[in-house]
Amino acid sequence: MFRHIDRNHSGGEFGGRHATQSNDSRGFFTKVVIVITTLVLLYGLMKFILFDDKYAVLVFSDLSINAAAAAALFLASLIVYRQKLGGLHGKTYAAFAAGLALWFAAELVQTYYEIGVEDEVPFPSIADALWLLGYGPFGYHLFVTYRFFNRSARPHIVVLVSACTAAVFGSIVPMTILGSSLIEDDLLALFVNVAYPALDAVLIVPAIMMFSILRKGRLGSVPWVLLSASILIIAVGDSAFGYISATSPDSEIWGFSIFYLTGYLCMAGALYCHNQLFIYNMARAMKIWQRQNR
Amino acid sequence: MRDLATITSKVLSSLGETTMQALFWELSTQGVTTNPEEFDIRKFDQELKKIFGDGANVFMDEIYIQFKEHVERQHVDLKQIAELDDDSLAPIDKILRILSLKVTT
Repeated sequence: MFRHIDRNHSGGEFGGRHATQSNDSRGFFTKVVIVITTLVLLYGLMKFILFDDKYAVLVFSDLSINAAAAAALFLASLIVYRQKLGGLHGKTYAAFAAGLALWFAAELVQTYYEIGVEDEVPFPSIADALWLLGYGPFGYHLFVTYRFFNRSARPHIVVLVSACTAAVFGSIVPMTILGSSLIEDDLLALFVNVAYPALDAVLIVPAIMMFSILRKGRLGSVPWVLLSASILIIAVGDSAFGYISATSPDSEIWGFSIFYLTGYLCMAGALYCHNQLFIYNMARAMKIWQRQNR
Repeated sequence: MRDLATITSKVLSSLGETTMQALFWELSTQGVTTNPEEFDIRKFDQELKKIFGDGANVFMDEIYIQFKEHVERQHVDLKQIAELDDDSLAPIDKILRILSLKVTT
């Protein structure tokens, strides 16, 4: 996860006959997708309206992304609070929350540079260090969950997903390095530019594998569709941004913030669905049971 | 059946206590009873697949392994149990075979 982008880059008891949570899960998913799509469209519309005022666009983008990251972090923290640290989900979602906390801190630092001091944003900066550190807990979440379920993985799908990811990102990284004007000037900046898509690629494999294992499940598939989508969207943003910023470091790079906003919103959606579907809520269970058994 | 239901709870609890409760509630809404005396492992297997897709096999495999160990510790002939380790069989079929052994021995 890079950032930011719209800137100059110099820088059991209730079993009723029809009371099913599964039926609700499709409704949840549809609603969540509608909310995410609406928010992204509104964001795009606002940016279009503010287009002439670059500073207003920057402020709006930063605040929107911060709000989306904060929402995702809040939901992750709520999950940790409700399910505690026991079991697979307890540990992996705590790691996910830690990763989101690091990324949210990175967003705040970046916003401070861009809006708070209105100074040229250093690159790499403390924000980049926080974003890169965040990959650790996210990796833990994805790989530990995948290791738990990998007995159900079909070997040919593992090979296919790994090969496709390696082919796509294996070509992006050399293209970025070879086309880079940073090779002679700033090796650290080039390394950071390349590290983002490379780490994204590492996360993509377990995320897509988890989706492939759980895709036929009515409940299991819901959070993983959104989580896989969020990682893919962020990876696309990172790769394109990394390539452009490495090959034309002095150019103004606009329009990438929508990838990160959508990525955070998809993460928040995944966490919302997990919260609703995989953490027992007696009050909600009772409500559904009463509704279905009137 | 009581032992099998206990093992099933234990296996699902590997995801976490609140997740296990959410799953049992979901399963109960689909007609899977959580009462150990009436626990139906076939129905459980069908409904778990609807929740987790292929991921359900991980739980069923673990239930089979733990149930087999439990039965071995008790009374069934080890030779008969060893014959069940046929990789072509689904975990639910292996569990059902153990249950049939228990009845005949």
